[in-house]
Amino acid sequence: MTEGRDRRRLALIGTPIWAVLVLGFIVMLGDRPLSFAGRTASDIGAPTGRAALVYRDRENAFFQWGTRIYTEPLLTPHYAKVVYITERQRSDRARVFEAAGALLRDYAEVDVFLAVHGERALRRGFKMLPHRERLRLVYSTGCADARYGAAWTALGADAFVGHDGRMSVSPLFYVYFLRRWIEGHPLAEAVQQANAQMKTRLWWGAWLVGGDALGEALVSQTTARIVGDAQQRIGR
Amino acid sequence: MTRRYVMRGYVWWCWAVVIVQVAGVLTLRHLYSSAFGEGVMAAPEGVVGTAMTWSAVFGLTGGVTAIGATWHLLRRASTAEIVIGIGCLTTPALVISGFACMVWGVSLGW
Repeated sequence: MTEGRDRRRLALIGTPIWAVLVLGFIVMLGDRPLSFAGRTASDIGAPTGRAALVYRDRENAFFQWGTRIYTEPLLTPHYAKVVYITERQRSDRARVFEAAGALLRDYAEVDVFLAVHGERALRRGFKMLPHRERLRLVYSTGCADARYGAAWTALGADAFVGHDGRMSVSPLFYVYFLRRWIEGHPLAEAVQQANAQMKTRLWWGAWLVGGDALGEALVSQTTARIVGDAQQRIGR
Repeated sequence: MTRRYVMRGYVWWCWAVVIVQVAGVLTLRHLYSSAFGEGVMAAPEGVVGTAMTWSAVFGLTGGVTAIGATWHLLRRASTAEIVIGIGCLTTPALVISGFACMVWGVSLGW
């Protein structure tokens, strides 16, 4: 009888503790379950006047699919217009410039998210567009694209965020960065927080595979930096 | 002896976890490959939506079954069975279900 009661108590206490521990493990590997964008939406103001363009270049379909289901639902409530383009063939790049031209014509602030392996050819196309001064934030996942930051700001963007390393694990940064950007953090803060989140996960992951040296190399190559106005925010 | 063992309540719960996880993962695999097999732009919206809904169904059902099995293991099983059951069955099941829920949440913009 007593043993039965003890076991019941063990199950009552043990099950929730175990469930919380496992959920904690999932959050530790991923991110907190909810973004606080809904809470800060009033701080960032109505999305009128700002638009976003997202371009995913050639990758395997799984990555293309993942980028889309992550990015589109996060951006859509916080921008008046979101154009999402996935490259299936080279000619799709023309659609990027067409869409960028229309957004720059119609909206006062345009943010560009490039989920690409290198943005060089894209920048050349943007050079031809009118109203480039309406470009606000340009983010590129491309390896070593941070070196083009000054070129993007010279072209008209207020700020550019990119990675220095040629072996950058940028998607890991992007996941944390995008959530914090739409929550309304100033760019400097969003980048700093996303870098910190990325560092912990990437270091441990790389350490398990290749030890300290790999961990440090990957983290330093993936760390993002800002060129231009670091105080930009999504709204207000 | 075997019959007596199989009839124990917590063993049924463990079987339920196995069945839900295997059926759930196989269905998700099928839906995801339908969704992105031809490339994301070619995937009909309906298929992507079904894959996301199924992630939620599987994630929640898998989570509830794993929690139920843990409860019954802690309530009735021997120490060795608890260690094996929770370590090798219900913890991985809850982690997989948790990630399925996360995919669903992400698709909703959470």
